Amino acid sequence: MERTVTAEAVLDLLAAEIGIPVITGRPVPQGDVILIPADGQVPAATVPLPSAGAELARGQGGHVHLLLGRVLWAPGPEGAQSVGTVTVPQGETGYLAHGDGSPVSALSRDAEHGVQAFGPGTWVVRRQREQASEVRRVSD
Amino acid sequence: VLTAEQEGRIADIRDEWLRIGLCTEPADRRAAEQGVHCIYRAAWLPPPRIIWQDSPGAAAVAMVITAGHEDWSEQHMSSSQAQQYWRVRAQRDAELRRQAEVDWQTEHKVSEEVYWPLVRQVEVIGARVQEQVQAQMRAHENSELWDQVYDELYGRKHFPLPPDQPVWMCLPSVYSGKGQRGIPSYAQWAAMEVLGVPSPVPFHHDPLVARKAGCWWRSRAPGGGVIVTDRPSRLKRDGEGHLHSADGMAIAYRDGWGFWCWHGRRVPRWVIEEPTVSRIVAEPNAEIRRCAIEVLGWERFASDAGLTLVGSCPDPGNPGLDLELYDVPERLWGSPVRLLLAWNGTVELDGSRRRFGLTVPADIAGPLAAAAWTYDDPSSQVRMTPELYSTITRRT
Repeated sequence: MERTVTAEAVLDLLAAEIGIPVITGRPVPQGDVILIPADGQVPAATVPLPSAGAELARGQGGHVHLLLGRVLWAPGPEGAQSVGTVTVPQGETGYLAHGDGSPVSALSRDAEHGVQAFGPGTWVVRRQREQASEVRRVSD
Repeated sequence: VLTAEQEGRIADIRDEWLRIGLCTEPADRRAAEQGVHCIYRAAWLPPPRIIWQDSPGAAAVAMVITAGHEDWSEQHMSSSQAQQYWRVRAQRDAELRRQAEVDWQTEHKVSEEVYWPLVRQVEVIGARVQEQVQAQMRAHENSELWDQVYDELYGRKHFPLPPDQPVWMCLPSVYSGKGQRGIPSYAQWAAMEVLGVPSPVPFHHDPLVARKAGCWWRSRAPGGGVIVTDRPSRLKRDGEGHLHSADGMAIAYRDGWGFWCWHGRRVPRWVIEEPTVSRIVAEPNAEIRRCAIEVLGWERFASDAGLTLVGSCPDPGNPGLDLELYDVPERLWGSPVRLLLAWNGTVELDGSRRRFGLTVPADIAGPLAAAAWTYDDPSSQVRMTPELYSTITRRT
């Protein structure tokens, strides 16, 4: 019988294997994207994240910050600096992956930013900003 | 309310027009010419002479060279037969639109999903191209040349025509010089057809040309004719979809015409290819100065321009490395800002580590507060304070 291995299962294994710490209760930055712990400050997300993940930001060479894991996800309005809310249920792990948009590319040696793993709770996903003539989102 | 099937078809229409609008393949000249002929046939006009140009820059010059004085619009206004036909068709379509009973919320939803994304991704490119043509013509020593081209491109002389004249309406591309810039509308109409709403009659054939070529205009050359341009051969954008290239032109055509952009802003060639502090200081336009500083790189600019260090502290997100905050002279940046210089979290493949600079408001006192500010969002309940930033985990 054929069995499909999900990206989450591979990431769970790899995270344990190479010792990626699973963060809770502290901000988790990956390049120009950051996760900020927000338990009780914003409503928890309720819709399961599709297994292909969610694109959080796309940078100049087409590189993508991808949200992965068996988590719940509520995207924010298009163009907003706070791009959404992610809730990790008890016992699960969420991942920030950076690559060409496919989960596996985040594990390649030339990935610009390493995988980040984060634990149970509700987090706000936010883009970095800078002050040009007006405030704008950073696109790296 | 849209069914799942309708939602899927509408998303497909948007994606298809995105591909068309960003296409860099050579124009399909035969198919584009057939499209032009369809538009003319629908207006009861004989097929026009078609003049191909490799770029909008070349097309603007060709228009000036071929400009005649024939009063083309009046000639065609006299076709009462055509007027009658379009009036009947317009009435019939208005009736069909009423019967389709699409409420305004649904129509609004379709435009959010189709029209506006295409405006942001595609139409904005056409707008930059148009600006570039305008800027080049203005810079020309003969400003009359520009006035002529402006009339040709934007049909200023034709707008006094009464808006209820169907014959005028039935050649919209020819008057307004649309083509690719009409793409958001073409996609919106195609999406509304999924809901049973017919496209506005006078525009039925416009999408045919936009699918196969670049922008196009009516030429006022004696004997009529239209000028159709090829598509660009190179089109580079940043992650936000703005025209952008750090090496060479952001948009270039097969005859070599094109221009340089930095995150959507048109810039002179030196900004991308040879930025230096002395050129930046001499540049009168603040926005161009900012672009050039970013191209040069903040680290190099901070040292070459001798910026004053305001303060430094260990970076909580990058153990062992420092955050630095610099003053940026207002005359350089154009508005009061400070510069935060930080190190990348990840080491490059060659073992080096890059620095990056972010500008922050000038009233921020220290580097930690500056770093926190970059991740703060005043519109969110969840704020990023310097205290919270100091608990940040290692940045990757």
